[in-house]
Amino acid sequence: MIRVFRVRLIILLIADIFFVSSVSAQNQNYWIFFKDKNDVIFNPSAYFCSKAIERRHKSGISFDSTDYPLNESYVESIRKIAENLYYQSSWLNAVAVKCNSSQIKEIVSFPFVTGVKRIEMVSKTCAYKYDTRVKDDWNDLLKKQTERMQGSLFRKNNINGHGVRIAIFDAGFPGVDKNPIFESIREEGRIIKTYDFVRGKENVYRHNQHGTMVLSCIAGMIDTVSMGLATGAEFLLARTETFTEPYSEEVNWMAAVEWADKNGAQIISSSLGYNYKRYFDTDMNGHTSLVSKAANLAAKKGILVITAMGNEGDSRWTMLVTPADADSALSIAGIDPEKDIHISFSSFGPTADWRMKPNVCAYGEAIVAGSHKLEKAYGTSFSTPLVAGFAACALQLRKGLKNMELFKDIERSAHLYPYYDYAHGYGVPQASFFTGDYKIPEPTFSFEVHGDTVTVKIKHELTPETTIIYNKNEYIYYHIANKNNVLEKFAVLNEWDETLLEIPLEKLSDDKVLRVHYKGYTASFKAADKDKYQKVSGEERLAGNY
Amino acid sequence: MKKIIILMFLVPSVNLFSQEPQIDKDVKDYAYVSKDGPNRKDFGHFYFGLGCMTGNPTDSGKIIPVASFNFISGYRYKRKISNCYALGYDISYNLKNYGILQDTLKVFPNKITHDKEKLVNNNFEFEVFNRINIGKRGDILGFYIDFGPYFDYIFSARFKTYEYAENEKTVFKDLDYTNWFEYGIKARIGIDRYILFASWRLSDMFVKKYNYPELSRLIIGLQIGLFK
Repeated sequence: MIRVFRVRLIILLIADIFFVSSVSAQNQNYWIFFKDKNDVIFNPSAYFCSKAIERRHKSGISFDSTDYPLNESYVESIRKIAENLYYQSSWLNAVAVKCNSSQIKEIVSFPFVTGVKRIEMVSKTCAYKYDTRVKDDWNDLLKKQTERMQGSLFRKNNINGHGVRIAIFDAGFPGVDKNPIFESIREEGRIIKTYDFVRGKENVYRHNQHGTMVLSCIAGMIDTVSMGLATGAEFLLARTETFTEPYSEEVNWMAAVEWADKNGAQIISSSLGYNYKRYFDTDMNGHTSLVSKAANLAAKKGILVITAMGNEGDSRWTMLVTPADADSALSIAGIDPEKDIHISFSSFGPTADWRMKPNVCAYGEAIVAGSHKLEKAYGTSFSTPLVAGFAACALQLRKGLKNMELFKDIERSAHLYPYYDYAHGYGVPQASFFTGDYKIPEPTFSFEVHGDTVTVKIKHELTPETTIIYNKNEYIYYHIANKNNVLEKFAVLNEWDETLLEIPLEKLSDDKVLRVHYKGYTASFKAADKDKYQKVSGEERLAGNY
Repeated sequence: MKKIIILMFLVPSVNLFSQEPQIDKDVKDYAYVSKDGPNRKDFGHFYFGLGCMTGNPTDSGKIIPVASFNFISGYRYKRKISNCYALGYDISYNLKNYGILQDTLKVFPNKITHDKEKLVNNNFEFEVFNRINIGKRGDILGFYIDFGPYFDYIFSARFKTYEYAENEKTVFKDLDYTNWFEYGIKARIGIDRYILFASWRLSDMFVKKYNYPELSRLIIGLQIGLFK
């Protein structure tokens, strides 16, 4: 009898699994795209806040049809049929709905509906939490995580991101309303707006502390010690994720981007990514995923989108996640604070259509503030807000910069520029580029051709005051790029002796370029021009003429 | 001569350590080269699992469910036909351990009771299966249902009895009452590497002339795929 009962219970369990999956399969989420916005009246002053209008005006970006609201009659027609209409996207001219298969058939028959797309998204927050113990050497890292970007130069000039508005998208912000690390932000009223897109409410001070940790990397203060660079910035906090790793809806990210635009965000910091759970690596081409398209749209509206490369560097995926593949997103990789080079988990570029990514990098290990205590955390989740804080300071210093001009200047400020690779991008952004403290690098090496080999040799006439030393590790960076500037190889070597590098000339056939960076100086070599090579002086970098 | 030999070792050593690569990447070796991910055309992986015999109301051979288990270790390959359908095969080693219930109704292999008795089969198994995938996904296995026939070659069958008081264990080999083969059907429900499986033995375990009651036909268990 007991045996019979057990078998029946097992069969019932299996049937339940089928039932639940079939019930949940009946109601699905969809985007419904409309054909036009005819007869829609739009008043920008009533819709946008003053800071948003100011940003558009400064960037020379006019209002267009993507800013108009949706045609209300179209929306009402859909609302009458769908189970739930939970979001309207002006940028996409679409609504997000939940409905069953017979309802979607009815919706598709409307003449104003041009397309339907299922919404099914899996995302990952790019955090790689490793150690929550309080250690004695945290003070050193705490100082270095901003100083690696020469944060003291910003502080010396009283630059802290004041007046710049940053939107942060994440999984929750518990403790931000109480933790003393965020006290100055609260007391000065610099949390402008919050919204929980998962629950449709304003309170974001709950749920996963990942967002709290990210915010601390921008604006946390431990007494008088800064954890990030933009301790004076303003913030829009959006909860778009349900919980850390892995499930969320794409629509929340979209909704948050449009909300950030409406509320005057100049910078978006997004430590989120979508990877193999939804896409193939060949989809990382900047125009397949909806969030990548949204990031590019946000850039067209004048917002600088800063996003994480992802933590897949030592997984089978290896490559960047989306929206880091977006052309107009500043994609941030992670470096190891001790070695000062690529940290193992940081995703690699390029994009699937062979565009350079990442753009720049910062520490992928940082001291962060959770909801209740300080922690040491790992992930490109934290290199991203470190650069977001840097960007806010740069924008405060150069108020007239448009978003893509700021994008390019951040790249130009980076410590390896004009050298780049698919692990570091152009390197770690440096404040000296913006504060006027930049030192023009002197040549630190030269090329010599012996037979069929090109050799890179140290220049012995280096002088300490003209040599820019960024860290104690003496690395040689080099890459070989084809004639389309796509890298075929890149490497980082320890300097050991006078001869830094030897490359056979046959590896530089077909117009390939060997580019080398050593102690702040970059030079290029082509086999066809054995006696000449391109050099980049400090003047050319500042003028952006390279 | 000795000095020359030492020098010969030193010179290549110096060259070997002149530059120590911290990062060394050939882009064509890592970027967009993956051809064998879980949702690509061909994908295979190793796995292991554990199942239990549940007993069978239509057969009267009684087993002890907790002491009766099936350990599996194998390799599973699938060829993707479409986004929602794949064909595959599975090769595995199966250890099937049947603990015989010792009570007064026991008839297999005789009426004599012991402290413990078990029939242990070591099988090589081959299975072909159909896979139905449900739901959109990237390069992951996602949610799937497998079903198909299996065939086992029983390369070793042992019957063991235990008498704890006498510290005796007796092993019977070359059993002439067990069949050397087994076949049946299998089904699996999986989410990526986590799989719930069930198998039903269609063939008879024992040679007919012995007229033994069949032992449990149904096995249910869990498997874990060994892949990233």
